[in-house]
Amino acid sequence: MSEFKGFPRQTGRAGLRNHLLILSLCGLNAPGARRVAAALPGAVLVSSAHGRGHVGADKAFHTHMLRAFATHPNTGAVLVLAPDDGLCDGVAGHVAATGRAVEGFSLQGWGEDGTAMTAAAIETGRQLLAQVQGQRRADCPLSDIVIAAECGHSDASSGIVTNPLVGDLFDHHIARGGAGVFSETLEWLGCEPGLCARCASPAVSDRLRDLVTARHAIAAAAGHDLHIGNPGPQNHAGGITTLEEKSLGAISKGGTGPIIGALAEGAAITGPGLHLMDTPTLSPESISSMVAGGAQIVCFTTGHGNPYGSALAPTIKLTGNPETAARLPGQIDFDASPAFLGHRARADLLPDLLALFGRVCSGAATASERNDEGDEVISRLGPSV
Amino acid sequence: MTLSAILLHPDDTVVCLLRDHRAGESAILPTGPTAPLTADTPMGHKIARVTIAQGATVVKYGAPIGQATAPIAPGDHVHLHNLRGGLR
Repeated sequence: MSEFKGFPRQTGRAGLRNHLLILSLCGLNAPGARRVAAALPGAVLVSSAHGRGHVGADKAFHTHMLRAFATHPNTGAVLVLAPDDGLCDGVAGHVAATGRAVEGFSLQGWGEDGTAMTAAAIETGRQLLAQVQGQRRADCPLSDIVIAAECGHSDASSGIVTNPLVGDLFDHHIARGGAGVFSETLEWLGCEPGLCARCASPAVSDRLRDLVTARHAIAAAAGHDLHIGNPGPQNHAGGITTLEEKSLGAISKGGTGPIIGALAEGAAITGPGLHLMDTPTLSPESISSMVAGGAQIVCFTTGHGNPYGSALAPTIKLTGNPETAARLPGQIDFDASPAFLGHRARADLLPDLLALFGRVCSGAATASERNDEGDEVISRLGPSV
Repeated sequence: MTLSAILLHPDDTVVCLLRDHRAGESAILPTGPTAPLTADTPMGHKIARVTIAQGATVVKYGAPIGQATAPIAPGDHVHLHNLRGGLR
């Protein structure tokens, strides 16, 4: 199988979904945006809590992330909610240039009447929603897909079975021309030599080391040494002895292929192959940054369970822990526990995971989509003024 | 037969246990049983599949995870008492 049923775009990669995105650019719009979203079931809400007083790199990053969500492959149309006409027109123009339908509403344009603006946005949103829901899927190459890998609330099953299984999926997908990305810079600690040896060029390798050094510096400035107490007592009890071992278990979800790029947080994943992205450790920040980079689907492994998913990118939740799979059947998409129980070899699970992956790409809802557990967040890179 | 251990990479000098094992038991890999375990070893923990000299590199995921701080025999539990990472 080399194709899926998706949504070809005028520019960029194909979509796995055709979302109407309600994009609230500023915390001033957030309450109104929630009312709009509540009135438009099926639409996706991405709402910034900030948007004023950002400076420098933090300001540029906030703008970049909002625009990346607005032009994400899985975004079919956008309803922009903004505090002023300038911000509104900037984002709307950026979206329109990609061929997507977009409508903008600013408080300034509505005489600061949030009630009237919300009512009008809902009315316009209904038309946009009908538009995106009326579009049909078409054959698209699977090689157009960027997969993001994430792990959260991990246990012994994650590093031994579930992350390596997602790594198998990455290797399979990338061997067929696709792209993948994994993140969380602190999860690379101790395995930099191995990661650098896999980098496609010295420049990528140098960049990777610089990203780790920069995260160390952030921690050191706050008085923390990332090597102390890591791995912790829970890791030790689960069988992890060293930091290298812990990190290798985490990065095994990226497979074994050469590393083409070491990207800044949220930066565009422009070509095929395996990429690293510098992100914080919190899953919402990490996932949103990879999604902003263009990932259209997420594989999220968990040991003890974790309901969270991306709002824009369908998120396949996997566990190798049989107790978790049994306890959370409505929240786990793929049960890898037969490999952890020794009933099946990990390699025998890959065809099942590939089949699920294909169904989700072509529209089958994931647990986090059914349960409305999706969100996108934007990291802060510095304080506001 | 139900497998009870996993070899993550062909180059590894340790295997991971998929359930708790008692001393004297062998863990079951797809290729057959391991050396008998020399101690009770919990699920998720590692046992050596080869002799590892003191000071030698221990390999898991096909990569170094630290150095042996004591001689390690096949079937030995490999953990904090005989393995130290390179970073601390």
